[in-house]
Amino acid sequence: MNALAHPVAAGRPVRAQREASDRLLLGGLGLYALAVLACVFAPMATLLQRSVLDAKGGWVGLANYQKYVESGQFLASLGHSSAVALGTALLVVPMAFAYAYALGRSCMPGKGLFRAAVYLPLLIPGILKAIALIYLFGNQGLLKSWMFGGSIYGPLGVVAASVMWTFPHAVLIILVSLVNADRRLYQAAEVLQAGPWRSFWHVTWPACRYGVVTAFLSVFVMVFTDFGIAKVIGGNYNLLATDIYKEVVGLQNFEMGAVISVVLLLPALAVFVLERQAAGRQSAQLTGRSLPLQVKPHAARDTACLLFCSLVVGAIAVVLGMAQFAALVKFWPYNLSLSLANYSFNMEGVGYINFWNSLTLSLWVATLGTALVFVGAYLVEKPRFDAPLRKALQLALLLPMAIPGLVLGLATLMFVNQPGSPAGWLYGGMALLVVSTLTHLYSVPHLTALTALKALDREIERVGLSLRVPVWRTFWHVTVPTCAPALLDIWLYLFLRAMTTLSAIIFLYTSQTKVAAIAVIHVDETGATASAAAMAMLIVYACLVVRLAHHALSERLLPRWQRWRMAVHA
Amino acid sequence: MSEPAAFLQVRGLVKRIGATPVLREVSFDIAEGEFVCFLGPSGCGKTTLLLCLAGLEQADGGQILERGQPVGHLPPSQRDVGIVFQSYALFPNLTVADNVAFGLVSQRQPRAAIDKTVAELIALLSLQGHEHKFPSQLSGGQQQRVALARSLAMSPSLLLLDEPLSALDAQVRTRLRGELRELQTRLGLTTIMVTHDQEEAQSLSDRIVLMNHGCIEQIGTPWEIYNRPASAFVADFIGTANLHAGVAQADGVRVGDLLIPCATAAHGHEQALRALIRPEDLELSGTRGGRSFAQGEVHQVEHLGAIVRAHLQAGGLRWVADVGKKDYALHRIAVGERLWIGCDPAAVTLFK
Repeated sequence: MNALAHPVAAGRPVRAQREASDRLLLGGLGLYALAVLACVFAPMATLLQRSVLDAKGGWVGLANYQKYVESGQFLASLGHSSAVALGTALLVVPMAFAYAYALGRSCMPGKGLFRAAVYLPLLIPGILKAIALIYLFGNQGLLKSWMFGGSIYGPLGVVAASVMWTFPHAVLIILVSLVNADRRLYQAAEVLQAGPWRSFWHVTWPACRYGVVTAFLSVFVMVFTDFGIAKVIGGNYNLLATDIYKEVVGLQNFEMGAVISVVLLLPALAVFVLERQAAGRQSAQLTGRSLPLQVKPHAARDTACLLFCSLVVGAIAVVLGMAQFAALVKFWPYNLSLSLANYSFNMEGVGYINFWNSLTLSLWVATLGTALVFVGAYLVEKPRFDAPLRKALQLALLLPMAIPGLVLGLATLMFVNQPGSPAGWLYGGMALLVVSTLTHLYSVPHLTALTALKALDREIERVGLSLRVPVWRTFWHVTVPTCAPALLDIWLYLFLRAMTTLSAIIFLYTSQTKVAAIAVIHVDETGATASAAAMAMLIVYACLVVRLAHHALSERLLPRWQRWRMAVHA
Repeated sequence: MSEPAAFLQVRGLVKRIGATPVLREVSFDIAEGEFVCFLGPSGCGKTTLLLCLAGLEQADGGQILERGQPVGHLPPSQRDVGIVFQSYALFPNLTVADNVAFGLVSQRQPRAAIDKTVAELIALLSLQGHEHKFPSQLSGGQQQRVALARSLAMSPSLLLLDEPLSALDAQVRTRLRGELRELQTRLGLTTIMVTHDQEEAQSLSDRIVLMNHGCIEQIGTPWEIYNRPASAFVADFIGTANLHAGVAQADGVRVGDLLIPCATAAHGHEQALRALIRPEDLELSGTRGGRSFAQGEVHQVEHLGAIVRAHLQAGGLRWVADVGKKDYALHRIAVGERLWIGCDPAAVTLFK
């Protein structure tokens, strides 16, 4: 036998050779791991370290924490932050559920319009909603009488603005769980003679329960850690997020800022863990073979849905209209004639340069971010080898979701500014803002990219390899084009969020890199609220233009590029 | 030793996933131009074995030799294999022609040469007129042929097929089965196909590698596998079997209250055995004959076209007998009838 010429070695076979592209993928994983270390772990470690040091850098253990807890300010701020976050979540989630239910499970007219309208608040910075509320209910507000002597400055204003700000996020989360329903379950319930309430409790509710829980937790953390709204409309009502800002920017007390950051971080981390668990259970419920639901008209329900949604959209329209009105009015409330004077920004250190900075930042974050997010998701999802690094990275790339922007921004500042920091040269440049914003926003688009990649045939890379085609060629010619819609969505998300968020960069900008969202805060601080509204409206215009362009692109151009998606075997 | 070297030799291949062994020292040879099926129940390791041959999985031990050269350590791009997956994994955004050309373009062949190869393959697989369609515009059978053309474009010396027919409906499957075998014979291409469908394996392959729990139960031609099963597992897995446990006696096997006459010389007295009788070897008759060993009652009759399959209860056991049209008419096989069961002692196969 010929086999005798090649006796089976008693030991291991010849060392397996790696595919050249495998080495590349492994190298890529290494680079991402380094980036996570540099952008997340190193800054957070610096922050934790600063919280146990005194101003001169000497070790004080938990003395800073003790001082903060005993200050009395701690309990008040913690209570306030928890109260507004809980209040907002309790208000928003039922409303969002009703709205999502109307969109997903009713036959009310104008569903397309209502679906588009819910995205509208996403284009409006949270601070602008706060400003609009001040114009409506503030000391000189149009509807001040509605307040019955109460003040909009404080918890009421924070909750009201936060409700508007978090509403679309909650609707989108719940809508996903409502839309993914299996028609057959309802048919089975009907055949078993379950009434509408029983089928709601036993079919609808179990399916969307995790969506509701996730929405509740997300809203809670968003409000608990938010800074912009509290800053503008919080008045003297102390919150944890504004405390950090006061300590760091007002008192230059970085150690105390670090301590409060840790307090802010803990609930966010806890919610992150809960949310991951909920997400795991939610995905386990969905099967690939579900039949889409077909909703039958029901006059009473559809009318109620229409009324409710009109009310919500009306409120959003009033707020946005009020903001625009405020930006155009000459001298509120004494001279209500309209002019563009508020758009001239003749103020020290504020001008259109801030708006251009915002655009620069957002374009970089969106473009660089889309590429990085997609490649990163590919690296953790697709390789056929099982590196421990891959598993670790899978979790690490979701971690930014657990870190409030304000905390990440402060940590980055400390990391970059510490003596002998390897990243010191970044300080003062736009690059630092891009890095910090992108790190802050990374996780949600990462999940979007993972979903898109998981929908592709698992064997595509294997086929490429067996055809002796390197992985990057298959990636570029097959994976990227098939995921084009997801890539567009990721770009839009990053652009809109980069335009409207400020928490991750409030500690990092310089006069040269100040963006519009920060300028709004500064202008508002000087009392020129109308100019602040005008500056914020610039952000809205840019977001609106980009949103419409995205719509045109995905409705008109994508179908032409993706003819293969539409073509179906007859 | 003038026997020609086998094209592919697999020696003591071992593969574990975590701590679970998936392949336990698997060895076999495949000759050039042969069509071999890996057959077995799901989870038997047949797909893992195929992926090891493609280089898409790395074996933990053992050797793979192609024309005498070890290839087990090579990555997929350096193996000379083409592979077609169950899902076909066609590139959805590329046309049929671009799918077929995908590997060739990457090798920087001149465009004219690529176009020529693609046109040949399109013609070979009767895909003319579909060159510029996208995969989603094709039927399942057409998609399968595109996947085949795409893997043949790289002129591999070994073709691996991972359940290529299982996603198709029954009629298309039978037709494509014939086409596939014809194409393979014409190209003389050594081919290995993974399947869990025994009928498919039997109709297509020169030889079958029958696997169970990561081990090879038997390697043989379809005739050998059916008529000379190496183990009770093979006998049970292939075709329909009357397989009953019993003990050896001097003149036959005692199964429950029944004594099935057969040659037991090779086995010790009172040894525990399993006796196999194929349904077509069972003889039914209304009266007791020389070979009859039991009387049973018919409780179900299946009309399968050319044959009639009768299910009987006898001696506390279930029996399946296939009878031809003539015997069916002769013995009035119907539910509730009591009939005698017998068989030729030579048709009984015994397993330890």
